[in-house]
Amino acid sequence: MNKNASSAGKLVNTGNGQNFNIIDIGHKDYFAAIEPDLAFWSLIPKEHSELIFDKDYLQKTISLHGSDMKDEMDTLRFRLKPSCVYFNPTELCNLNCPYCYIPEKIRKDGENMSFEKMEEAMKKLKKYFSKSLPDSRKPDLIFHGSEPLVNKINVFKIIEKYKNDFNFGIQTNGTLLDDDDIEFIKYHNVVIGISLDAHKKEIADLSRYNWDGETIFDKVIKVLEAFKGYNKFSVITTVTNHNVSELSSIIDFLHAHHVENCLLNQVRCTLPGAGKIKPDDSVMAEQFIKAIDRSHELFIETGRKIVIVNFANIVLSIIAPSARKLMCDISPCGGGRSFFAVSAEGGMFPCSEFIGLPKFNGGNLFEDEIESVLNSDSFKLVTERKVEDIDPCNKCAIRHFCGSPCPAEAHELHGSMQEPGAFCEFYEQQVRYAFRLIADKKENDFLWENWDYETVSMF
Amino acid sequence: MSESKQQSENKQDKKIISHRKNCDPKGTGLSHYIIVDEKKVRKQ
Repeated sequence: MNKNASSAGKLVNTGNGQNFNIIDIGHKDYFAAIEPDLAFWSLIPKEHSELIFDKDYLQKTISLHGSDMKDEMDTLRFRLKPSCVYFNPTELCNLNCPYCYIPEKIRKDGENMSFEKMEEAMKKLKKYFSKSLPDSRKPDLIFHGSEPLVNKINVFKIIEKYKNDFNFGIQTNGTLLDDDDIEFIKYHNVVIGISLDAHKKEIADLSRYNWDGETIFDKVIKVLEAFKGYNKFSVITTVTNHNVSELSSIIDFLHAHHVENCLLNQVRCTLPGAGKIKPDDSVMAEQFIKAIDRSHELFIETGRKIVIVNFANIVLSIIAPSARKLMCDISPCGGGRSFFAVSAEGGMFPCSEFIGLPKFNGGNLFEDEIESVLNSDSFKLVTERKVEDIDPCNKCAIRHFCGSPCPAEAHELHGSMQEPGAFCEFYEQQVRYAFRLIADKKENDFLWENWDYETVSMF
Repeated sequence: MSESKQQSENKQDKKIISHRKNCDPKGTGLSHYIIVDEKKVRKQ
């Protein structure tokens, strides 16, 4: 409130009064009123739209909890410290997927990181996190790529040696895993994600293949089956023109294989190859929502959930902003704030998505202090990118449910960090759908059991 | 029934829906990877 304005703030949307943006959520009985800066929302019955002016509810809620909501959003947006590293133990990949954000030359002609260098990195990261994180919290270290298991021997040696210092994870294409590797991963409780773009070979082969253009589908399905029942296993499906119309069938397939968590990721358009196979936003939204509906049908039929994590994250951004798991859909994004990435040469980037973009290299893990890299101008390009500085996000009601991802994509597609990402309409439709579920009190069906075990109710 | 009482009862038919939970923020996942929550795993 500006005290120099004589307005007492008693009237909605004028003077010092509270501001509510109205959005049509496509529900027969409700519309939404949103105070965007606080990520505060209310669903108002259409037949009693006057309730938006009800001093006993909306305005009172903001009066009582506004400062807590502001503090929550500021903490989430500006006060986090890194607790996770995405670590590339190799530049190489045995596949040549057309949408990869790592440049082809690096993936084809790059090098592995030696065990000695990996160990030097672990020691430095361990020391950094011992100062920046409370003793009760172990940092996450995710082996990522390119394909991290090209350097499998060293990765597994590091996991064995540093298992008490980090929660380890691996995101892999799965093609290099044998039975012993799978047993190792289960025994050491490593979180593992497999990339799989379709339930049918002829579709999957359009976007995931080796350097000779050969299929890898059968091998990945074997790995999927070998991890059945392992509860630290997930699947990432990258959605392109090739598979967008198959998303519901893919959910059927993954559910049948007892996958509990999956991402149906719109392809990131950071490098030019991805833009050629980007699905139209409206098609993406329609098919994605069908897939969400299918996941719910399967839950009702079987009592067993498959959580589509990127949608679950949108639901959480609305009903419990601080409980979100993914840090792409918040502004600034988590890149360089809640996590950072290390390339196989030790280059430090805000996120893996930037590894092909030298402008965003903030320093080198082996040569520079981690704290100084986190404060580098390269990192600040990402950590200071805010929806308030982006048009049309600065006037968008759902700006804190979406976050205008991804900065790498915005920079490469539109030439500036102060531009929106590639899937604005897709986010509009996801948020509207999430609100419809909330109106029908079904939102918990789309989240994990016990998702709120560490939360408290604000109102 | 008075008009004001009728309006009051109508408001009860369909109430405003608004709720929020909060917690210590720990999100570290991104679109390239899903962090599986260890405590949640133990509860399952």
